[in-house]
Amino acid sequence: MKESDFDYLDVSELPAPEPLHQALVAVEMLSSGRFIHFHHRQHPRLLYEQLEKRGFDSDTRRGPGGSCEVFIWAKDDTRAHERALKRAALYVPWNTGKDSP
Amino acid sequence: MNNALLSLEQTPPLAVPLRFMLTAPFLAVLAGLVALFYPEVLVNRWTPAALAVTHLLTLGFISMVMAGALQQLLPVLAGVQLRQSNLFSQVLFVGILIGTLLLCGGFLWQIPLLLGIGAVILVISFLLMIFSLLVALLRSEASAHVTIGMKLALLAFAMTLGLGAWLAAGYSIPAIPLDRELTGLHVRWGIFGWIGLLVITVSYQVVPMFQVTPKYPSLVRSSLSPAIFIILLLMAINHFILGSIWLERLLEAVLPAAFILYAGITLRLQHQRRRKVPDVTLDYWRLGLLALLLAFAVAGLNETNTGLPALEGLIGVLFIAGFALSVINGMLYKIVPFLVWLHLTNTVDMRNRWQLKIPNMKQIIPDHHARRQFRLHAGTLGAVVLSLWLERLSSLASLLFICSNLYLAYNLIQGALVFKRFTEQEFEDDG
Repeated sequence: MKESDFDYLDVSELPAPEPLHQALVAVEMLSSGRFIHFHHRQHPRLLYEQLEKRGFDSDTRRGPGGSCEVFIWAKDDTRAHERALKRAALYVPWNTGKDSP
Repeated sequence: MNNALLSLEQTPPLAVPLRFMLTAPFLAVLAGLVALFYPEVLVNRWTPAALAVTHLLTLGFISMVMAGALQQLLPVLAGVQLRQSNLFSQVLFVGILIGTLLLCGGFLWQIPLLLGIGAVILVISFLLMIFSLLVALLRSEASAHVTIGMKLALLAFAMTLGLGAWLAAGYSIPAIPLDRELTGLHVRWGIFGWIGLLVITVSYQVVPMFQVTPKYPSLVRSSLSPAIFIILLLMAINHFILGSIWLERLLEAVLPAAFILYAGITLRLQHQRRRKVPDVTLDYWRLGLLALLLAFAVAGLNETNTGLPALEGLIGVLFIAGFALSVINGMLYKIVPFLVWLHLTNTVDMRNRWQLKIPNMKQIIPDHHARRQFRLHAGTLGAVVLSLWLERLSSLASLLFICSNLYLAYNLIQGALVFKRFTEQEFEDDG
């Protein structure tokens, strides 16, 4: 997978609501065939509904040290979807039962 | 993951929490005015004016803000909605406001009827809130970590109300004796149970979220609130049934230990935060937690009968103004801009105007205003503490307190008006 296939968005050091704000700005600028790899220190609970409304889908995984990795692509972009899932497979699934706030 | 739990659309209207949060500082201003015209408030906590000031702060400011925050937090964190949230909020708001003013007026002017009516209105209003929120929490599918602290805080508030109602009855109905010994329990349940447990529970979310700290340890999140609640319960059982002095002393040592542990963990987490940029909320929290630790230290000193004057007054000032008001002030500077931002995002969503640039948190309440108000608050605290020994400072302390809360009100209102101005400017053609 080439770096040019996705945008890496590290919001792990930002206070709320900057992570959500930056994610929403980034998805509006996403071009065809590309996806976003969103890296956060905690589960972005309010993000998913916003992605759904804007026509984006996502896959959430757990990264090293318990970080949250969200892979985001436009729903009608099959190529981006495949690429996102390929990268997401490098991480373990996010077990929401353990994600107690 | 049940995303239905976490929907911006479940957020109640902006007016629901804001009417409480924007009104609360004015009740603190009223407390300052009472202290200005009745300077004996800090000399003796039993004076009518002292009782009025205490309840203006604990009910009018602290509980008012918490009532607004809970109505906002429940849908977002626990995924439950209150039915007819706006109507519920309006009724609750009017009840708290009128009840507090009547109760405190009754204390101040020693009019039992006024006090009694105020107490009845407050008990009905708050019981309505407690019952509604508890029922909603019981329906919640959110994890226990989120809901247990809120449930215990609400139950603690119910206990505080019950004790307060009995004390108010003693004040206002001649046939009922006034049991002053109950005030110690009433104060403990109010400060450590209601205020303490709710601050602790909310902090598990807002401290990592807004201050970019690591999460609180899982063991702390699951067991600290129940432990504090059990201690308070044992204190009540001991007071009413057992009457054991050694148990009383043991519990009086264990309760501060629980809060000292919490304060220490929070300060350590704040020290470990990732981006060490200046933050007013952080400074408010540090001030509040240090005041809490100092309050316990002074309380310990007071137990040794040093004969030092004004220690009891100092304990009250440190707990209420030092700890509770500081952490709540700090939280308001994050919660109000966050709510405005959230509702602007929702409004933009509903109109599919995603290209619009929404103001960020620092544009909603500018940092320099929040920082200046923090300095005024810190200076006020210092003046209030000094005035316990230097009576000639009491008028200055009261004036500073009034100015600090007026400035807080100004900052919060200006932040709220950003929503109005933005929507009017961007959506005026939408109809």
